Amino acid sequence: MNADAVGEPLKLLLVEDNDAHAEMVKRSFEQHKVSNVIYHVDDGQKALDYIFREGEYVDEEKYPSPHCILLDLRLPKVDGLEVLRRIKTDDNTRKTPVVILTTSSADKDIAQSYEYHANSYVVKPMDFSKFEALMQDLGFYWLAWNQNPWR
Amino acid sequence: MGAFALVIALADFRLFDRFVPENRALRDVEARSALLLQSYYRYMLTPSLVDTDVLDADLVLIRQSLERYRRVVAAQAQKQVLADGLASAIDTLESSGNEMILARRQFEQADSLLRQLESQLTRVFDHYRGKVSDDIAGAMRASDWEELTARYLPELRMIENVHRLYLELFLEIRQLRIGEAPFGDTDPRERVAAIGNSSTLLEIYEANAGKRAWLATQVLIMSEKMQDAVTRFRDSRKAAEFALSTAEQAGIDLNQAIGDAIGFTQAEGWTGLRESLYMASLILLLTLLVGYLLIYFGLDRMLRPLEQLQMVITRLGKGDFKQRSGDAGRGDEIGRLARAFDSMAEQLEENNLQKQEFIKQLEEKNMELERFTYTVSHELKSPLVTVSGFIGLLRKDLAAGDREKAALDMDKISAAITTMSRQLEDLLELSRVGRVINPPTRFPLTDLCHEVVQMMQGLIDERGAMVEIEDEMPEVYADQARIREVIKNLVENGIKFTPAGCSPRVEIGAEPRDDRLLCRVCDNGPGIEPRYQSRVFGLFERLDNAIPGTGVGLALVKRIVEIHDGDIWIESRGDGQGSCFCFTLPIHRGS
Repeated sequence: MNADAVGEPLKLLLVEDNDAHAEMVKRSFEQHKVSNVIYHVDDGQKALDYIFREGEYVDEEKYPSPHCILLDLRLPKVDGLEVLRRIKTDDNTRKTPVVILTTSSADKDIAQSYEYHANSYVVKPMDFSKFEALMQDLGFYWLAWNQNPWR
Repeated sequence: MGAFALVIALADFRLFDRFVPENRALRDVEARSALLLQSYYRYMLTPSLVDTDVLDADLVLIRQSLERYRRVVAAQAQKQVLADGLASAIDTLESSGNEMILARRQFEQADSLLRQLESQLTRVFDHYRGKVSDDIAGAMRASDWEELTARYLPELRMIENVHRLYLELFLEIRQLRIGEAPFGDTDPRERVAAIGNSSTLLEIYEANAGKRAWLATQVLIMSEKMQDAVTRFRDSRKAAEFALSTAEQAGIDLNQAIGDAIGFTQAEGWTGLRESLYMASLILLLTLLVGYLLIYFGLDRMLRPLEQLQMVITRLGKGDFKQRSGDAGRGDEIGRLARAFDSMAEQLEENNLQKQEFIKQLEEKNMELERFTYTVSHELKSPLVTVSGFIGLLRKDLAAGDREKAALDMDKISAAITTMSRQLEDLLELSRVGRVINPPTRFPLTDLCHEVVQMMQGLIDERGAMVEIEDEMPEVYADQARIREVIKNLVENGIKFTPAGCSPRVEIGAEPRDDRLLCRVCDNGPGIEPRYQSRVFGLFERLDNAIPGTGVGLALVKRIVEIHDGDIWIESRGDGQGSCFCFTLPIHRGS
């Protein structure tokens, strides 16, 4: 049940255009009990390139397939929802859990995300202690509690 | 006269009691139409404030009013046909009846006068005869027979003569009563005077002046009375004849009216009225019958188009605004109603089109507003999350005594606050573009571009940029301050996005195209791939986070160009060969 059983750190792809937010996520995970590696891309096109191993992300060793994807919705170049749709329509990538992590709590975004088969949808809390708690819970839930398909 | 009353009573039955002023019903329809139009106008202006049920209810009311009008017109038509026929028939009969009554009264007067005259004449004659007999008897007693004979014979002859004349007159008078023309053209007084002036009479009556004078006077009086009676008789006969012919004419008129009404004439066949005035009432009954038939078929002609119109209105009420009556060419009330309806329907159709257009625009605006608020709320929350997040991290770092990290945290907080205030400023500017519109003026584009370059001299020098402005570009007719913002944003972008180490080069040019001016701001930067070109104009859309900016600039540019009814697009392949921002501006009012 424990992620340690896999024998390797859990790989997380963070798709976040706001560098400050990305740093908050990373620093929250640094204190995490679950060992993890965060790969960060800052726009939608780079996210697609990473996931489908295109462009500068061809190297599988350097850019391994993530166990879970944290995806923001408003992204430069390619919108987060479009990234989600592409992930979930591809046979190879659709099993990867995608957690939408965004500032938007708009009904339209939530509905559309689940329509595209998002695995979870969480809104970034304004309060930092809650932000940290959320990151802890996300790590435990998706990387430890949750039975993941790659096993 | 009893027959008239009967006829009037018949005509009155079930017809006049149904009379309702049609105009009131028509005004009702018009008023309701006006109300509906008002409702539509209100609906058009503020669709959200008007319940469509109210419009439906208005339409139902109009339908009810039209139905009422339809019934009223039907009743009115019945009434009109009958009333016209009745009125003229009754007028004619009444006047001819009056004539007859007058004629009869005159005839009776003449008759009684004649009888009076006759009896007077007889009395006078008897008296005269008696006097003459007495005279003769006295003479016979007084003198010898020869002398008496010689003396009285001419007088007796004269008396006989007068007697004969009287008899003639009397006969002639009697003849008057049976309708023959009396005396011809001769005045009876002349004939009487001729008797009075005869020399024989004068000679014989010389000695008997008193008797002679009396007789002559009596004859004259009688002849005058007789003449009077004859004149009166003549007049009354004329009146009677006139009355008869009027009555006859009335009959013919009636006949003709009926003939006209039912399409053939039978004036020749009808002679009854000469015989009896009661025939007229028969004709009236016939008129009534024909009138009813006319109404029965006439109503069909009236009601069918009304029913059709009602159907058309029903379809119109269900939203088919292309419906028209098809009866606008008619000259009667239905034609008027149809024309009024058609003009109403045209107005409704036009209003509906305007309404649709308005709703479409409103929906577009609504969607734009929704996108705007969504984007704004999402985007403005982002720096807040950053600020609160790094305050939390700052606390931890300070607690751990990590001053270096704490300083970085504070940098992040300060950057987020700067971003937020810039975003707010830019948003304010963007919203101002839509609200505050300066009146357009004509100004040379070249001069404006030079102004912008002067304003941006700092940035240009810093990046070692080159800005080339085409000489003598045409004048434009626009909001000068806003166009300055457009040029500034585009030039700034051109310089900003060119990678460091490469000197930016921006070219501004313009050429007339289709009544407008096509402007181009081109740079030698990385360019924008076609797949991203439409996104970059979106609010807070940014292609490259490494370059500072709020993502509002191009949204603002697009907004300004659109307010000037222009288009904006990008020509670029995105492979490092630069990009051209193209947009159109008005050259003069209305272009």
